[in-house]
Amino acid sequence: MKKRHITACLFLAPAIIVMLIFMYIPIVQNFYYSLFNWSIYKPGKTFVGLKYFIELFQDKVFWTCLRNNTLYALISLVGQLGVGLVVAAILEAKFMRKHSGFFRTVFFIPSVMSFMVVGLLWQLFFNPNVGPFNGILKAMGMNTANLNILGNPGTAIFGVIFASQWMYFGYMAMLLIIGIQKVPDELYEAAEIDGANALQRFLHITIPNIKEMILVDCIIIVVGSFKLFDEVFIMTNGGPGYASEVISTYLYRTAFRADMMGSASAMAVVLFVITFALSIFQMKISRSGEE
Amino acid sequence: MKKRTAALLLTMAMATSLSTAASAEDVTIKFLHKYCQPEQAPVFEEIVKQYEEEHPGVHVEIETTTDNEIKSKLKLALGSGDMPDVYQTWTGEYCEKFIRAGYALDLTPYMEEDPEWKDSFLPAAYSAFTYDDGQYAVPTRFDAEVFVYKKSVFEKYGFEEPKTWDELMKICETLKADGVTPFILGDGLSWDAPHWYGALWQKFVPEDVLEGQDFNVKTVTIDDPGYVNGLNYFTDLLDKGYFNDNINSMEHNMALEVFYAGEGAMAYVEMLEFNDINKGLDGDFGFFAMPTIEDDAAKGNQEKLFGAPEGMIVNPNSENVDVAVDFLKFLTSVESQQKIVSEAGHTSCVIGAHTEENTIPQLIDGMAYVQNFNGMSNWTDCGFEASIVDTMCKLGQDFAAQSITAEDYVAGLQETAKVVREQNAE
Repeated sequence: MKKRHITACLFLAPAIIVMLIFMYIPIVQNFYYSLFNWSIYKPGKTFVGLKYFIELFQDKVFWTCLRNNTLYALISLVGQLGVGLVVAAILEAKFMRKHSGFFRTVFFIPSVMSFMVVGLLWQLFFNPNVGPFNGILKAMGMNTANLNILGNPGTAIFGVIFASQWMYFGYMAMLLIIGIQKVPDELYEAAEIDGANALQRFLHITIPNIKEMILVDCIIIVVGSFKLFDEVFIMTNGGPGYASEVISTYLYRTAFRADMMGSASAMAVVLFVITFALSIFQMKISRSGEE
Repeated sequence: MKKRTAALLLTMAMATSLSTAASAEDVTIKFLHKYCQPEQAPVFEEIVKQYEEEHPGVHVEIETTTDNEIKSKLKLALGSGDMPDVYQTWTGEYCEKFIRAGYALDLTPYMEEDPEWKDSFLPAAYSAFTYDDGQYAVPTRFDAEVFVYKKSVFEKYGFEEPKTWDELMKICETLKADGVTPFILGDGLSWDAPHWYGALWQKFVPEDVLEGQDFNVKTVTIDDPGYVNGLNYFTDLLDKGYFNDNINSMEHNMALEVFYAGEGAMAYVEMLEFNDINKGLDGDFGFFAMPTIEDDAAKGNQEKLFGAPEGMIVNPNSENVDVAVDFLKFLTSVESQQKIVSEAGHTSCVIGAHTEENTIPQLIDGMAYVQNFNGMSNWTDCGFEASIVDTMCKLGQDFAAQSITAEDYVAGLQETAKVVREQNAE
């Protein structure tokens, strides 16, 4: 028994060491660094205590970041999970089964593309000078004279969020299709005999049976929303001004543009706490069910 | 059999020791630059290859990235202790922070040993990297901000190159009245509009305040009224509709493409872009510096040209400092620079690098034009401390979109300046 324990430990040791070096020790170090005023260009650190945390919560830009992250999460819940759920249900409906493979591929393809490509594509699409977006709206009779989706502080974050929904709703639909396929056909057949229509079957059979999958998807979306970086960095770089800045891009800017490493470390701690809390929530939920 | 095995082992051991001795003499230096464009990168690779051929045993590892990302890359390298041996820099505070951190070699002894090397650079460009009597970098690419105009448009309306701001405004008025957008500007990357602001501050903020007090991390305040006054001139241009629409959603290159495609009459650009502009406009362009502003509030230096050269630093912590300096000397030799000028289209700071054969006429004129000015006024995005530059760029977009006023913009800069002063107080 003892020997088996040693063997198990030996097998686990490399993974634990790698996790310690590249994850857990840096997390602790990061918290330590957030208590100091330090710069990459200067030797030494000055202890400032919780100063950067206090300043962070007084910083208007940080609240803008939090607002944008939250907006992204809320819209993604509807745009990725909601739309994904509807698409999954339609593709799994009897009348669509013949063509479902084709549509699954079509909807899934955007999610395997690099966001570098997708971001640039949407950036050009929204560009009022060369992109087709304004032209399409104009052709529909709308006044687009002052419409500049990514260049306007009020709309920039929505442009980024929209591109993201386009990219990931197919991925969410795929996850939900897997869940739907596990629902026994007998339930649908029984419901049909009882006279339930398609909507009733969807609401009373499909959704309750894939509840676990929906909850897990929710957490993936919400945690992912707070780790958001590529989309904003590529499409708007957080601009115009700080209008579409999110926590990760602001952290990057504070550390690698402004060279305020202590402040950036404090931001990383807050980001860690948010994502950690959401992950704990996710773990609780996934343990609570059968899946 | 045993003897044969022993002999074989002995031979192998000798061969191993010989190869170890040979590799012990091999030297590798890292060279980080930002010339990653398709027409630029191969030239640097060729120069490195040539250097390696002429210096057996020396290997130069090239690393390259974009203009936008090199600053982050150097910070990461500095943080991880993996700094290159020779690397890119700009003038002012950007270079000084590497000096303070102990990552810029004072090249003075090497220059004293080889005065020819020192004298090979344009004096104004060379002195841009002199700090406290030490020479911490050598200038490589020359750069200054000027207005580029379409000659055909100026000829059509009978315009002369303006000498004063009022003359420039008259040109804009005529163009606007005739439906031509005077200026094309794309601030999507957030540094284009700050070039306008910086040049206006040079005209409005007293030189000793801008470059003396405010380019210094210990004394920066950004509270001179010249900052707001300069920005008001920009607001005036916006109000009169002298710029294209959608400034913030157009990146620099896209703006230039729009300019080449027929939109606009002028663009405020860097001289190092002349070759691209020449191709884009098929040679149909001339240039002039930001004109003198005749306003009592304009208390800055009117006689300097806005801009500064790019340069290369040698890392004093390199294990092969002498090799790194030797490589830099090779890179800045007239032969290498002529190659860089003709193939990558660079604006070289080395005397004799530009000839009529390898340089377009506008660039030759430009290099001569620089001599008319009483020196150069450093870029504000190199002169100010990094976090102030970041604020300048970010809030600069809001200001260009007119979502904040000049006063709000300067207040934001002052706030960051206060933090910078506090951080550097000790």
